[in-house]
Amino acid sequence: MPTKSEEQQFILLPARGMTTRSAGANPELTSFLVSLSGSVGRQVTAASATGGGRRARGGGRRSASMRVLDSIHEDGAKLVEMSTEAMADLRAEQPGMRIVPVVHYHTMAAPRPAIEEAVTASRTRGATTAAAVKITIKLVSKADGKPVAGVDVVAFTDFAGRRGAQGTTNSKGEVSLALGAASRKLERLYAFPKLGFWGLLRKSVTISSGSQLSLRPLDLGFTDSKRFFYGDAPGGAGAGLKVGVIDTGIAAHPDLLIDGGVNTVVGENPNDFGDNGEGHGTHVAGIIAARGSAPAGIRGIAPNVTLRSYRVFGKNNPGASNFAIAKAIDRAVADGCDLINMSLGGGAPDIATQEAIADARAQGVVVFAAAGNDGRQPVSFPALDSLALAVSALGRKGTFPSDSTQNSDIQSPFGKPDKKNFIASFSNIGPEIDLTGPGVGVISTFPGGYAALDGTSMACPAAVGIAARLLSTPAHAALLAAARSQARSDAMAQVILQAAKSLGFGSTFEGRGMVLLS
Amino acid sequence: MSRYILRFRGQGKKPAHDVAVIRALPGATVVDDTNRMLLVEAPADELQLALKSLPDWVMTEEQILPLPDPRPRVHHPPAGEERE
Repeated sequence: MPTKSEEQQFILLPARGMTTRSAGANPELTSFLVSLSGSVGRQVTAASATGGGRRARGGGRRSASMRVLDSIHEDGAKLVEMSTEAMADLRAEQPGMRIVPVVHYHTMAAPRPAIEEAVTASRTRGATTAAAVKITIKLVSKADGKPVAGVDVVAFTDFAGRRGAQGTTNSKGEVSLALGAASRKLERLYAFPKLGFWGLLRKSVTISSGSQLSLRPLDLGFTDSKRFFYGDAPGGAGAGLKVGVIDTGIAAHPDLLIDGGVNTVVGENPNDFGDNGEGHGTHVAGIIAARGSAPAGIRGIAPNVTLRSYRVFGKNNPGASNFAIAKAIDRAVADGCDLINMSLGGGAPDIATQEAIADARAQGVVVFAAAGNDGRQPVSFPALDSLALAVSALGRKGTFPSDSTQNSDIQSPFGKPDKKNFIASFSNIGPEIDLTGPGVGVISTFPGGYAALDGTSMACPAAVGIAARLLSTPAHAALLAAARSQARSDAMAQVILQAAKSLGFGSTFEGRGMVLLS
Repeated sequence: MSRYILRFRGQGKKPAHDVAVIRALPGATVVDDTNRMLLVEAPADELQLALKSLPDWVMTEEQILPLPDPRPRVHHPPAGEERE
């Protein structure tokens, strides 16, 4: 992963094609690329290339510095060399431009065989799990001692090797774990309740049948990471913005007002855009737009947005097809959404989704995507797409209980100067990151109640919510009212990125930083 | 047979003539249809051949993205619990 001092080569491209002659290109981008044509072999700043440019008008922030190495067309592709910090700056200065890392291809020689994993003696004999002695433990509420059903319990005897046993509690709050002994010392024990409670993490704990663990009920007035950074939304926050959530659907919930939507899963009822049973989309929607108030409810970051649901995950189906996603993007654009939230990803880059994102940008819509939860791996697609805003996840010590599962998400780097902030251990990172947002221990709406969840899936809607709050302020009324064009989405993205402030992690982890409104 | 997404990159809605060409391909079944896309079950080589004469279209295989989940999971039983 590149560090601050490393410089990389990138190709700068218009949103479509190799030159800006294609329909809908932003004139300011044309001017920028043409100006770079005369700077081949020289170190320039983006602002100087455009004779002062937007950044200078924006109040004297730093401008991206790069060396121009080559140019294909006067108004087209440029090869440049710059740091990842400069890349983040450039994305804020020219948000309608694709910035693509240079890739070096190799010859297609057949790969040599290599050992991928040492195989233990027992596994080479044909591993099967022993029918084994099981340990039955019970999960109860810390408030009233009642059993808690539906809790996923994951017991690691060897965390690094991912060895252990797992199961889900029944109606008596009990789960049997095939740990092969009547008593077992665990490196880690996780308990993930579906809703209503904080998860529980115990390290170096010995369990035996009859062991009982207590779960802490969620307090909706608790200051989680979302509330810490964004407070309780002021009246009118998000008004005038239409936000599309492309996800598992959104359940009916007392705190949510759903304007409408569509289900794009092939073979399912298009009008069934409610939650598919996973709860993921309902949680995402609440982070942006919940209208409740503590202690009885939850308030999102921009509760006055018009919220629309685009369900792309089928019922009883663990995956979403790229066709359903591209169709959902098209529908959200056609329905007049201003911002689109995509807390999903992980597949190989595909041209259908890329084209749908490019079409959205060409029609004035900004797309946000979660960076992925693979633990410091490269940014996943579609967040990887240069025209989507990629969001990493951060957490903050003190915004979750000391025995909750969120404690295992703490990892360096820590913020500067505020060391309580950290980039979540699960978050993907890389030069494509544009923004970071609270994604550890976020309390939000869930079918049947409320849940505290973690993920770049939670950070992404936090970024969308604060972007909606920002764009709904009177200062940006003219921008919102502008014709739906590439220039509109570029300007919106620029406003969002320039409102981000670094929390001291470095651009590989946080991009431009977190959008914070004064 | 795999399913492929065909997306029209030109201006406006996808042309009816182009759609007719794709629908007429041997072994092709259109599974879903939007303003700018077709989801088609068909032999890949037939589609690739057809798109050579339809330059405003791009093609990609349908793929399924999993629901994001950052929670740690057990991959193996405890040491000593694997046997023949």
